Amino acid sequence: MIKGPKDILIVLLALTCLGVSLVMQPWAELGFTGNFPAWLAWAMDPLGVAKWFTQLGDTKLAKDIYNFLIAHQAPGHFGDYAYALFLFAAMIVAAVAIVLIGREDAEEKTILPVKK
Amino acid sequence: MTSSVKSEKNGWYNSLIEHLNKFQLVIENITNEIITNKYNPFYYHGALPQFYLWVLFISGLLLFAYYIPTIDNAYLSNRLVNAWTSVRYITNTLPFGAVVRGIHRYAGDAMVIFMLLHAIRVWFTDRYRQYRWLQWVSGVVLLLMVLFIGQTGYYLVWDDRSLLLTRMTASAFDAIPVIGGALKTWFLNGNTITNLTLSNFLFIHIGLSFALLFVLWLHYVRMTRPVITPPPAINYILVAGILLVVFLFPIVSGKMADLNQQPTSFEIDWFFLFPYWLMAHMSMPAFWVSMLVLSFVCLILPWLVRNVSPPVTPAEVVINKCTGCSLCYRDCPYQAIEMVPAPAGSRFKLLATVKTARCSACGICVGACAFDAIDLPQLTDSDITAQIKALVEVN
Amino acid sequence: MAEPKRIITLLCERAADVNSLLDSDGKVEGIPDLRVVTFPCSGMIQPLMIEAALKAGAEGVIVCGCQIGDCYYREGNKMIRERLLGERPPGLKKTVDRRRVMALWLSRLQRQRFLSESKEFVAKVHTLDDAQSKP
Repeated sequence: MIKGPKDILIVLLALTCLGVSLVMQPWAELGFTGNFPAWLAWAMDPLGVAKWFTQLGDTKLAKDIYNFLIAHQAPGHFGDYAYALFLFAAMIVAAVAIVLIGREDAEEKTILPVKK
Repeated sequence: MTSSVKSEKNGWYNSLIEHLNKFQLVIENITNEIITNKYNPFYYHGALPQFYLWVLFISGLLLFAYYIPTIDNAYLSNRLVNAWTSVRYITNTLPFGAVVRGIHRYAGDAMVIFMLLHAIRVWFTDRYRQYRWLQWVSGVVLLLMVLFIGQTGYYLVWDDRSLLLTRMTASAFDAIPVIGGALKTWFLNGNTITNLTLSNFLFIHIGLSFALLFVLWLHYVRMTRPVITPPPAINYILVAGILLVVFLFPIVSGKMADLNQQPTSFEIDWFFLFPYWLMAHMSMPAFWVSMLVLSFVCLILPWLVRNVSPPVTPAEVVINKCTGCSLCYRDCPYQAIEMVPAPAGSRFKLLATVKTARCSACGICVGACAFDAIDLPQLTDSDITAQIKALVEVN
Repeated sequence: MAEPKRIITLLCERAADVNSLLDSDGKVEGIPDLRVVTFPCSGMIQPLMIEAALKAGAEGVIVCGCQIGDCYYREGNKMIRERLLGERPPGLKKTVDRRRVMALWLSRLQRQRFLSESKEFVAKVHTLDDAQSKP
């Protein structure tokens, strides 16, 4: 199934897309911390998931996004803007993956199939 | 292009278009090398603004659910509720509200950009004249409508910019002779700015947006199978672009509009608010005259330029050979063939007829016909077959 | 065979600018066996014309239209492409040797690409002919 470097790249892109969607967006929703709402915290705390999200919030990327939004006086929840930013990244990755796969079908030359 | 008689008067214009077209082709060729013709956005240039229209409808619907079209400054049981506070509620409090508002505004800007790019490509590639005049004229009308709809969107926020824009528009209308007063009263929904004004703006904003669909029907009606949806890969990129801009340029409303204040300046969104910049830098009559002249010139562009290509000699049906199979009718790209009941005494039920005003003389109908029953008069089937035979047979 | 065989190109006037490659005799430079017939749109090409060319003695037929997606008349190249592939009526008769027909979808500036693809096709078609007699 996986034939060459291009196929590996496509799989990596698909995983990145999935990763950005599944991980970054909830983290953005939580406001770059692990502050799960009470109804969810009982499940997440024992798993240590909250701690992991809070650590993500201490990364440089998180701090840069935060400071950027402060500087621009962005109204509303910062998490929503970060969500939009990560959706942007995921969509670009998805589009690139689609084009890499679909490029082969495009034709500048048509050879007629010969039926046996 | 085949050589054709070109009038001297248009020689420089033809040469300009030729160069622009070549430049266009170079860019498209490079794009094809990278992402292939299957995903080339230039080949979907009409579908791109159409896609943004759907984004605008959906994001607009979401905003509409929470928007309140009033201008009251009076308190309503300890809580101020008007357009500005509803926009603030959407932006600051509602989950994802700021992003949806951003998507709505920037999709509007993107729509204007892509409509202009679409118009430019159509112009460079000479696909707007003769049998395509309705597409061009309806397109110009669409652009004018979108520009006005966008302006009403800026009034709806009801911050101090909105107040200034409303006053400038009212005085612009007032400056029109004869009907100016009536137009101003229509616009303000009264003689002064009241709650009725803002609900009028909302009605115009939403109503005109739906009216766009009617003009879009006109825009598409003369084309068979119009391309109105870009492939999903392009759609992802279109949305991603908006999301990036939403992040990079968060929207902040101005102060709440106060009818007792006289704001004098505002931040300008060049895509929609350029007429206001013009209004501020020229007299009202000059403004209106230039807007009308510009719009008029754009509308009549298909007839302004002549002799760029030979006039169209439409296809002709060879009545005694037509079997009424309807293949030409299906394949015609411009809805220029109609199937009518065959004359009495015919073996067949239907007969093809050409609507000559819509015919582009492309010959696709000729290619579709297995019975040699339709021809381009200046290049018939027998001409072509004779040419082919002459070239194949070696003396 | 004593006589040279011809390959016919059915070309759209807005596709690859082959007309600028023709010498005064109407021969394509570098490919002496190739001759060109021009149409306003590749969609005008009837499969009957391709059959007529092959029956008259052509070794092969090249159809050349604009890039898929960029037809000046919107759909012409898609039409002829589908007709050749049998996805749209009218199609090529079953007796036509499909190896002798090729289609190219090239923009006006892609002359060199046209030349290289045509050369390859002409060479291929010549070998077909050496291997078997004409149908």
